[in-house]
Amino acid sequence: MVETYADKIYRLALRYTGDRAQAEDLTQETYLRAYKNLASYDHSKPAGPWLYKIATNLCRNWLRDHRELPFDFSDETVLPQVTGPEELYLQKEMAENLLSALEKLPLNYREVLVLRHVGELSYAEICEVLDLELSLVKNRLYRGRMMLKESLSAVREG
Amino acid sequence: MDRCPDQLTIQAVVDGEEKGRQVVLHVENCPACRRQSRQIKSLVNMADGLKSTDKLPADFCRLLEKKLKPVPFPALQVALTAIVILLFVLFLLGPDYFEWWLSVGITHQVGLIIDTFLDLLAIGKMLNLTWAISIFTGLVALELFILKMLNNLEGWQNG
Repeated sequence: MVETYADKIYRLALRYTGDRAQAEDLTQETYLRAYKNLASYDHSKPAGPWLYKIATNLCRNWLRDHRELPFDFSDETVLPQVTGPEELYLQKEMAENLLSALEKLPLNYREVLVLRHVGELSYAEICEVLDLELSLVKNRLYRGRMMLKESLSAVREG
Repeated sequence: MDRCPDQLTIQAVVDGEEKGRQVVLHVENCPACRRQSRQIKSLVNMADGLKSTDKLPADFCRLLEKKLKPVPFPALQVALTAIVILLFVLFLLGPDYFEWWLSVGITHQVGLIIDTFLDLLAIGKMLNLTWAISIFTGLVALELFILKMLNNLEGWQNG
């Protein structure tokens, strides 16, 4: 369970907090809570959504307590293959802008985007993690993507 | 399929979540839906830029394992402490204590009540065996002390 999901949960926490040390702490806390509540886990289901649910709740609590902290963008966002240093610089800037744009979205849209694009969860799994109806997840995902595009444009212009 | 599906359904097709063959075929063949599909794909590609390759530090599993390991209960220390307390109280009570213990009187009845209470405590499900023995021993010591006080009131030591 740790080997399969730990890095994924870490990346999820990193997108919430923007801080490596905090993300590591939250990942550790996720597993400690999971261990403590192992009796409540349905072993017939995959552990992923259950762990993501714990992690998401911890991240929400963290955000509530640390809302004022600025994002640190020095992480390893996936960059496509580049040929020269100028292109590398532009793509790094693009990645930073994207994270900055994400941070400006309301939490309920950001969560769905992060679970889909960082956690790579299916619609059904997102429903389970966030306790939402499928139609609402689809809607938030669509609107979230649109809002991210608008937010990205605003970040580039501003 | 005659009518074009809504945006959310086209999005589900793009995300690989909509498996309905008719819907997928319609989106592939209808020019308007294909255009919408392309727009959504560009949004998905943009949002895919959020993916990362970050990994936890190599020692994460070791540190987690360390935290998950329960701290061993200091059974030997607790048992030794309990025995020392018991011996000390017995020493205080003196050699004639057990003879007096069996005598009939108010102290004997009080002793029975306290014993019953202690037995109920000791068989409590929530206690692990070492804790139960430790608490039981400590309470017996307390009981002996109280009985000693009562015994003094009854004037046993003075005969």
